[in-house]
Amino acid sequence: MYEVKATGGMLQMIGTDMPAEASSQRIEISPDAALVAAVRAGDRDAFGRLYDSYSRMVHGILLARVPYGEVDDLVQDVFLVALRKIDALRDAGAFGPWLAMITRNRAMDFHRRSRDTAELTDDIATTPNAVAPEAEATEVLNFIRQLPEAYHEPLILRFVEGMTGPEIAERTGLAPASVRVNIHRGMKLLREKLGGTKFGREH
Amino acid sequence: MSDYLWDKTGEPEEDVERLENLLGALRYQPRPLEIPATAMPTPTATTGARPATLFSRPRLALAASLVLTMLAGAWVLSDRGEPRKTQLVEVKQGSTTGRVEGTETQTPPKVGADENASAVQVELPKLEGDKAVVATAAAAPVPRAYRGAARRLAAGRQGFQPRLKVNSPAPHEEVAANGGARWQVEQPLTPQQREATEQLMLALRLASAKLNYAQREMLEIGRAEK
Repeated sequence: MYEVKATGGMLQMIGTDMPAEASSQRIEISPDAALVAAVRAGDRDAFGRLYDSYSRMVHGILLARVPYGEVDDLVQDVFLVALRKIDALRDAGAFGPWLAMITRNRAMDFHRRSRDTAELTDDIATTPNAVAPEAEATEVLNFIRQLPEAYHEPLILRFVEGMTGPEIAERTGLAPASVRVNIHRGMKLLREKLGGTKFGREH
Repeated sequence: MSDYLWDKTGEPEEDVERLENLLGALRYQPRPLEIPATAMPTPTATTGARPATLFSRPRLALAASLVLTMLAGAWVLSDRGEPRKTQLVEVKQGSTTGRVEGTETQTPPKVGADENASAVQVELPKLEGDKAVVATAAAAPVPRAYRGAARRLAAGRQGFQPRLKVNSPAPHEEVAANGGARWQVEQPLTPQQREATEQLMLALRLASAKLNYAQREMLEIGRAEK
């Protein structure tokens, strides 16, 4: 029999009806791993909690690659793909990096499929229900997309989704040091790009 | 040292704050996830972990290729029990008899070392110059160890023509001292043996292809999970 305790970011399973020596051995599992196990057992709510935790990350990764108007539907697609494939995830604690990979693959699929249909643009200012702040944000987003690809994800997750650097590293499975470097270098390049624009002039 | 850009601690820089406010307009607006009823995974009987990984496709492919390789290996080893494809036939010039040496052994027989113990008397047609055809069966009784060679020699009567090479007798060989000629019979593969060899090569190619496939599958799964 195990007793489950939440400490910090981890859950601890502590043996309760075992000898003293054995009960001192604690098995630490991440909350994600516990949720993944629950989803595998058929728990819908557990998947809902994973969705709440990771939807911003998925949204940001998609926004770095596909037009803004398509992102919301793709977020749903990504989670459905993840749900369908969740039995293939070996390390349940690595749900975030695994989901990030599915998201990147889904974005690539989107471009592959859209190549045969119509060219998509990100010019939401021309759509009837577009509002001014969104239009300006999309303009800045386009500047970010003109930077080297390595900076897209960290900058969008940081500025659009409001995630901190350590949070980005933890969720995506990327090394904190490389996320930090990419955020700072990306910001430096973005300042240079925005320098000659109205966004730079306000500075 | 505080670094607002990195972890939102400390005093925010003006342009960073402005970008946060501006781009925040595009932030994800949570909406309920619509999960179709059929999309939920079926709970497994025990822990809910990945079901029946023992019989996943890559493992099956790997097991199948291993079995094929083992079968092929067994076939090759069993073939080693067959008599050698080359026998030495010793014939005296002008004689109608010869001797077949060491038919059942893997190592060539030692010439001159107790030849009578490892040779079989066979009847041969009279030699005509350098041309000769082994066409007679071994003289009875043939020792068990040499029956294979005797059978093959007898097969020569039914159309099989062994190739005979005339070797220059070496001075140290007792055969030369006896004034005899040394003949080497090289038997080509029979159609059955050739077919079996082709099947073996096909099985090995199949096993190799399956191993490659299994490796690719495993790499793909590994990449998907990263």
